[in-house]
Amino acid sequence: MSARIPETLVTLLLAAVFGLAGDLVLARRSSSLREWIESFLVGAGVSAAALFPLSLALPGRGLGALASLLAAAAVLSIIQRRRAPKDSSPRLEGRSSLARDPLALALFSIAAASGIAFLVLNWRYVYLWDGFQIWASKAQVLFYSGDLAPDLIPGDYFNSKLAYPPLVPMFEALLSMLRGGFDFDALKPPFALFYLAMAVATYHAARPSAGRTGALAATALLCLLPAVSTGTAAGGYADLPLAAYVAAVAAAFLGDGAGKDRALPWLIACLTTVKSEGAILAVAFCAVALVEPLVRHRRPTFRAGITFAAPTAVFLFLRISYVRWIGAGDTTYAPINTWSLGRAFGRIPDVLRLAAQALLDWKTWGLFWAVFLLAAIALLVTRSGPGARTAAAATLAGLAAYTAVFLFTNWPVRLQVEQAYPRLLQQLAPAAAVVIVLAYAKLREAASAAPAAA
Amino acid sequence: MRGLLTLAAAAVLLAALGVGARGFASDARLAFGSAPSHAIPPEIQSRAAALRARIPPRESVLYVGNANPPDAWFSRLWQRAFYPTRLVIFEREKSPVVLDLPADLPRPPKLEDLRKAYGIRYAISAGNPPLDPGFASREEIPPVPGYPYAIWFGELKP
Repeated sequence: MSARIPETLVTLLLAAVFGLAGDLVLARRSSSLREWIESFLVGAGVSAAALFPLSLALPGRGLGALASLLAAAAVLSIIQRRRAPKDSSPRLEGRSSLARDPLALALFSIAAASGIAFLVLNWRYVYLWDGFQIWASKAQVLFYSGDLAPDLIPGDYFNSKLAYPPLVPMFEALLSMLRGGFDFDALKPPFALFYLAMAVATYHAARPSAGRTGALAATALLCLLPAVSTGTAAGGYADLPLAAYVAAVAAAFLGDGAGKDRALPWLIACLTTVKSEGAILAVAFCAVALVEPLVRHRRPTFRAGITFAAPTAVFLFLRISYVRWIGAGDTTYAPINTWSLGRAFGRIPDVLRLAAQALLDWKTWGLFWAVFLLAAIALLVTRSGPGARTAAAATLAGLAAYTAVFLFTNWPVRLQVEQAYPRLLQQLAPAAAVVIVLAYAKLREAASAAPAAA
Repeated sequence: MRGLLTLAAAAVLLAALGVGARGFASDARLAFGSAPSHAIPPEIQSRAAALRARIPPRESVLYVGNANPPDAWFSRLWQRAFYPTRLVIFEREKSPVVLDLPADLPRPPKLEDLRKAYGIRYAISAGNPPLDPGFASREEIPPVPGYPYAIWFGELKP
């Protein structure tokens, strides 16, 4: 295998273009790595959402039109960057060299070593099952047909997968377009970018409340997880990109950026463009974000609620329209009706037991999810501050929703949980890692305050 | 309390290090021991390219597998290597996953229906032994790595 240097450079170019387009959507001028990552994710997500209407409007030329629109957006964004004043994001105080803090240095080294191990595996592996059979194959169809139009062959396994969200295939198809041809062996560089986005966003989500060492601990805990840095994560699956979006949502909500309110609703909406289950997360996160002010006895204005939920509502509408348009009929899950609800009710004990087994599986997760559950409970029952409590509640809501989907599977439940649950947990892992260190920081703070009060 | 928290944090981190090191070691063995270097073996790519050159443009090709050996992965390698030429896979292999559905799934189309729907005149058949979907003439394609069984290509009877 070659080092794929041209593809890596094209990936970076595409990331920059997505970032500039994201800046345009967020009406801002990114200057820090965190802001660039946020804009990159928003730009990529909005582009993926736009691909469906473009496919309808310009059959066979949707991908080309998207590439042209992205180029135009990048030029416009560069012009605006020259005109607009630089955003003055507040900078955290107390920056000091890592070398002076041995613990922080050790945690940084662990995260960096894990990242390098991922990069090596991502480079060495071609594809595992879904990476090839679903995501890269969909990219191949998109590249050659130029749009998302289905080309269904009766009975083919691939049919039901054509309705999956297009972000990863779009990225791979645009990369192929710019490199001048489609090659299954050349499509892995974008995954390194999503890994970096996930790690950096996790750090920034934890940094304001847990400090630099705590944020590095969250990043190290996350990157050490085999489900996040090896196996299917390095095999071209879309769970890693979705994990990057979850991390970015956490960073936009908990982070210190000036433009966090602007990015958050867009990042939540973009969850729908990566994987089907991203729609479940988007609804869960939106609901928690809208309910949170009520819990804090603050009445949100109707206008603020609508503005916040609007991107998710539009993206969900596009997603549902796209699935109906494809009409491929995925039989993995049952629709919610009287029959499936009756079956789901009878499965509750089984699903809970299997989920608990998966969460506590030592070889896959170590103590990660056990500690997360304790940390989430600690944040919810103590006076931990609204941000940390909401983060814990949203992650728990995501976990509960992801567990509940197995009540509706048409597969044998055990088989489906074994195959899919670790990847769903991988998507939530960045938020869970942040919750763990937030709880640690709050409990430590409380422990320090107790003797002082005494 | 602070001491207890520090101890718990150290235990969590040490456990993560142990699980992570084990996971990386296991994947490194796989990645550098037996993982293929190409998504589609170059032999399949080159044979698919050669076969595509022999059939008229926009022609669909039938792929007939045999449940022996399991074929789900291999047939898709051919399908993706042929793309954008349409390779219509005729499923011989029953899915190992038995779905729990209120009604039976629509029956998969019959071979004749697929031939009619796509005007198929050429076919690939692979297996141990390959099945004959009605070849008028056929030839054996040289074996490809990872599939030590016969693969036939030929024109079908009208």
